[in-house]
Amino acid sequence: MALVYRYRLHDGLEGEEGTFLICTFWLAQALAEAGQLGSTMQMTASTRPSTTIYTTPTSGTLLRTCNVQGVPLAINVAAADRLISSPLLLSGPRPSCGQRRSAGTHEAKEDEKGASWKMSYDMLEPGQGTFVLRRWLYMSGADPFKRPDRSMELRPGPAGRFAAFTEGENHDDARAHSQRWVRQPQAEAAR
Amino acid sequence: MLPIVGFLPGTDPRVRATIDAIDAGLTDSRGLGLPLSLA
Repeated sequence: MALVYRYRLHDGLEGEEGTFLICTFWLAQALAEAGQLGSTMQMTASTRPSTTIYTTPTSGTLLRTCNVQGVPLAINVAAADRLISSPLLLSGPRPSCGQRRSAGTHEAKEDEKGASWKMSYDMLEPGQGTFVLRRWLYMSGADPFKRPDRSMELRPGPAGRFAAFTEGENHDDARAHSQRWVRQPQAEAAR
Repeated sequence: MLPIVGFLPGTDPRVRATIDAIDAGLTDSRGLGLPLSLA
């Protein structure tokens, strides 16, 4: 595993879409929750001074965070979990299976000056049906950027996995979704 | 997000299948290079 993209298809914006660090942490944490993170995690300093690479030898997982200086270091799963969780500042007590909340807020930060995410969520039919994210905000340092208010539903989909839907459209069909999302504000600006 | 906020346990087959789909379709195959001294 390497870094995670938010989406892979062209979104109509100039430039190349980059991998998204916070999504990488979420995936890494999900892997840890699934018990798929290696029993040891090796943290190594990269050649770039402000970047640290985390690798798990057993699963090949690669993680990166910024503004952390480090020397090669081996840590166990518990420490790895804290390391992963530390940039992901979960608001409130961490829920555990059997103590699921029907709604809550999730906040993630890369660092005090870096990008942060804050979102609320509703759990409809916890454990069975649909998970809804609302008010998906993206803020970056002193220049907060708020995406259009919207919600995303994660519903059981094909192949036994969840599929993301936005406004009733399958988000997996990212081209149609992103084209409308990006171009609608442009069309309004042209009026 | 599903296992992180406690919607389903990370070991649930649907969560694992979702993780696998993200791993297969949304990750950068180039990865990150290791430091030359460790490569």
